[in-house]
Amino acid sequence: MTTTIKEQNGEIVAFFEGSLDTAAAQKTEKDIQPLLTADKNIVLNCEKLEYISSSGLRIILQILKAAKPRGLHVSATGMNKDILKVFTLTGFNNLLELK
Amino acid sequence: MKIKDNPINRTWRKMQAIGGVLVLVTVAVLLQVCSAVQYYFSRDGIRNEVRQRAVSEMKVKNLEILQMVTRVETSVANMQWELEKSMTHPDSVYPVLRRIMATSPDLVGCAIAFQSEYYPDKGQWYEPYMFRGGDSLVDKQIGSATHNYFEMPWYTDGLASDHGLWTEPYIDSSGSEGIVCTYTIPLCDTSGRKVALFGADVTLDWLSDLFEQKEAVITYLFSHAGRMIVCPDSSMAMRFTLDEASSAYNDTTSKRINRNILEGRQGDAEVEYQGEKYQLFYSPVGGSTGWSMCLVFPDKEIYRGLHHVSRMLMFTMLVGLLFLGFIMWRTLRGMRRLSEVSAEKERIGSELKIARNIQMGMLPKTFPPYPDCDEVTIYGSLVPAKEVGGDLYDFNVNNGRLLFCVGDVSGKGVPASLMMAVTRSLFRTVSYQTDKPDEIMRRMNDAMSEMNENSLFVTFFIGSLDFKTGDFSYSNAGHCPPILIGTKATVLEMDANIPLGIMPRWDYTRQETHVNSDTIIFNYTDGLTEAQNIDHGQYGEERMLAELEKMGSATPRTLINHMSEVIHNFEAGTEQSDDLTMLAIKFNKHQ
Repeated sequence: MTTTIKEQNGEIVAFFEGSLDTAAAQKTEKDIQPLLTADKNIVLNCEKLEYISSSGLRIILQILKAAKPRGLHVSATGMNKDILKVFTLTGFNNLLELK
Repeated sequence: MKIKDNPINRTWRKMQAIGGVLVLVTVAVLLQVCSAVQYYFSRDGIRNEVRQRAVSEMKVKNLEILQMVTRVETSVANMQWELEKSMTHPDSVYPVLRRIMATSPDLVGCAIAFQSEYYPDKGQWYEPYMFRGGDSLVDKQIGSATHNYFEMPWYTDGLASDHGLWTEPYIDSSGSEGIVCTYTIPLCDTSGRKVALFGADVTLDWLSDLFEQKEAVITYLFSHAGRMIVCPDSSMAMRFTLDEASSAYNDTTSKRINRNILEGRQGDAEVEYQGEKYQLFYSPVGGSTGWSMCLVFPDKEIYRGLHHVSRMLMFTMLVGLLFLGFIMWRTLRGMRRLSEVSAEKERIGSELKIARNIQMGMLPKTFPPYPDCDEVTIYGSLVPAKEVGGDLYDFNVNNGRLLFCVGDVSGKGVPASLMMAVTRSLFRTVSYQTDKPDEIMRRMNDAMSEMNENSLFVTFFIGSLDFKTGDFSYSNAGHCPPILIGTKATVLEMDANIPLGIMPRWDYTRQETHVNSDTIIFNYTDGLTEAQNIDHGQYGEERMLAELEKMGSATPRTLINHMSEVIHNFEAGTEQSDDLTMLAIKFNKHQ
């Protein structure tokens, strides 16, 4: 599991690659620290994300919680069918914009 | 990590330290004993070697002196007859003396001292003398009133003897000032009467070369009377006798040694002088000269090498001990740390065990829970991936309804388990106030969202089953939907509601359906569908549905035990990656 953070078109884009399961959660939590102090809209690029567990959802929630008081917009792109299903089932689709 | 310093720990440390010191002391003592034994035997060996060296050195010196003595004695004996024959005329002795000098290079001079007025025309003293003056031989008559030999001991003693005699060594006053010794033999006239004394003078200057003084060994040569011919301080040579030189030592040992030397005995002794020990070896040398020699070895010199080796050994041992001490200190410290760490681990382990028991105690574990309730059969199972987990289930029966829940806290381990405990308590509390699933959900969510600092959330399902009608109302907070197992296994329809604890005042929806009799409501957590095999493949929903459909007519207990086994086999060779919870409820109502 790797997480790359880049600035693109005035937005901060986080590229998730691999399987965001419980084992990978601890490292990913560290990797996304810059997102918690960001001052630009955040895009979660999930094109190469294969799987997400509840620990992974917790990290998404952390990003959402940090962005909300700053008035930042968080969106996710490129989710595969399985991950989209997880987001829908857990109602996370209500919390952030899925593109 | 450090354990508190308690008395037991301190005692243990003290014991370890004492043990370490004991080992060091034992090693030090052992090394010391070894080196002492080595020192003792080496010393013994060196002493024997010194003795042998002394004996062989005295033998060599004795041989050198004996050779000279024998040469002189032989050549004089050879010429005795000729000398006696030449005495018919006072001047005819000179050629013979000259021939003796020529054939005996050892001699510095020779003379014949005649009896008073043996030749009437030569007067009272007549002593023809032949000596080496530069390269040639010079003759001279040295008998006179000033050189009155009649009174001299060499003359009286020599004439009194029937054979050759060696005189005491003396300083040659006539010529070289060197040390000289004279070999005398009495000469007889034709009638066999002793009338003159022949003396052959031998220089002893070569002895100082033979008895070269060294630091490691001091050499003395004593005359028959005990005069020092050779001694370390050459200014004392010939001036003092043994008794005079050792007059400062009046003890019996010194006296005995002196007497032994003077009496020509062979022996050895150990003496102490100004705090230093010396090994003494003495032996007669030079045959008929009656001389004795004495070799003195200072202990300081004998054992110099040994002491050096001992000092080096001591130093090496000290360095070795220091090194050993260092290694032991490091090892002890490592062991102490290890024991501290393992004690800490043990403590955490036992605490986790207690926590697990507490957590398991929160779950209903008596099945069947309502033996007199025919309408439903319930069975549940929860297996945490670690000691403690974040899954939960609960149920209660009230007013002809079964209210039940299944939940999964995001994450695993201790944080999840604390959240699980909170969730389970909240469910109990809230479900006493209302039996509407969506209302319970809302109240729980509001309470949990307020205190959730760590972004932990709980996916939660609450169901409420009416025994009489089979009406089933439920609310879901992001949890995986239950499976209804009748003739087929179908996934229950679900609205998308966010998990508990994320956002307060979320309006959870309630859904309703009808459950036929002999249907199993199978609840689970994602530990089931997301169980991984050794190739990281997930068990998945499809496999689960197929397996559940096969077990359609089973009891909840059989069904769950079967699914547990299936998952266990699927996970063979890997570690259980997530908590696994299943809760099966069979609706038995016969209409």
